[in-house]
Amino acid sequence: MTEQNNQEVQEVQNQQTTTQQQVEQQPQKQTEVKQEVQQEKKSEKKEQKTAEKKRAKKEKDNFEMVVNFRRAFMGRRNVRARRTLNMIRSIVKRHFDAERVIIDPTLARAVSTNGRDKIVRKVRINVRKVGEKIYLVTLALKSE
Amino acid sequence: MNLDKLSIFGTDNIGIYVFTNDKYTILPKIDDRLVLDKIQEVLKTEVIQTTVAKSVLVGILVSGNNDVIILPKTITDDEYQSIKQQAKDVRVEILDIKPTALGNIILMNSHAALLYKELTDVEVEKIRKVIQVEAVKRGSIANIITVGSVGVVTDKAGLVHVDVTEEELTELSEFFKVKLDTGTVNFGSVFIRSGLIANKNGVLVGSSTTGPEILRIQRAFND
Repeated sequence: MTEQNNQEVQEVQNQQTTTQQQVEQQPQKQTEVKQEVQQEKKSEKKEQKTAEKKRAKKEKDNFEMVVNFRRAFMGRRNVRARRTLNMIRSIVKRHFDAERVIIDPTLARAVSTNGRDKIVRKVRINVRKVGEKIYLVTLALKSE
Repeated sequence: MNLDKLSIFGTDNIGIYVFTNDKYTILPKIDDRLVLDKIQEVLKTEVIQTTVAKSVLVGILVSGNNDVIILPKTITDDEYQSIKQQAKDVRVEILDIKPTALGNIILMNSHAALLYKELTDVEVEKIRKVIQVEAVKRGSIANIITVGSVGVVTDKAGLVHVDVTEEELTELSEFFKVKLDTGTVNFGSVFIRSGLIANKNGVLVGSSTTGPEILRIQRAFND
């Protein structure tokens, strides 16, 4: 009986030690998990920063400005649309020291949405450098 | 070269309030410590805070180069004495001619001075005696006769009105003996002096100057 009792006691002791070990191991696991989460967060932050930098660079490359066509509206009706395009060209040339300005067809169409007589009064344009003293002008769309 | 954006009294027309050369910067009394620190940091000069003819428009009323600061005849005695006491390394002179906005009518550096077209011969002679530079002549820049308002010229470089022709630009470059470039400030303003302050150490531009404009200014004022 005594031997059996001894064995039981030993088993119980062993179980206790294993539970103690488990209890000790648990915080280690928790810390590892925490570290992993932190690393993931850090990597996410890094990615976000790089994305922001890329976006900022893109924004820097793309210069946005508003052109007012009040002056183009004065004068003959049937040349207003043409005059707006010339106006965009001259403004971009002056501001960016450009030699050649390429106007996107969507912008040209957007200017004369209401016909060549009733041009839109203002337009927001996006200017991008595509070569040495060559600039591409597109219609700036509102981004969400 | 340092380049920074600045606004004074809530406006981006900083050039009308500030006159500078390589040694001294004259500006009206400004309470904002940050603005003063920025001016000192970028231009690296001694700062003289005073009004001129009881006006804060110092940049318009004062002209000069590294050897001389010229003041209008409307300046008060106190202001003249305070500037003279503080600016010891340069000559401080009062110019007794009819126009008083000397910053607008004189564009000068240490080599030459371009003057307002409508000055009389007597007035030109007076200016020649006071400023003592090699070349003095009357002229215009891009058909604008207030030559001081459409350009900024230092002993190293300069920026002038965007509409000058190439011939005019080369002529001006030869006259001032520095490389000049064209450009605008404050989102398309052709009055360069109103939005730009420059000396050999740095350049300050008005706060609404855009990125492409700053690139052109950097290209002009870099060595």
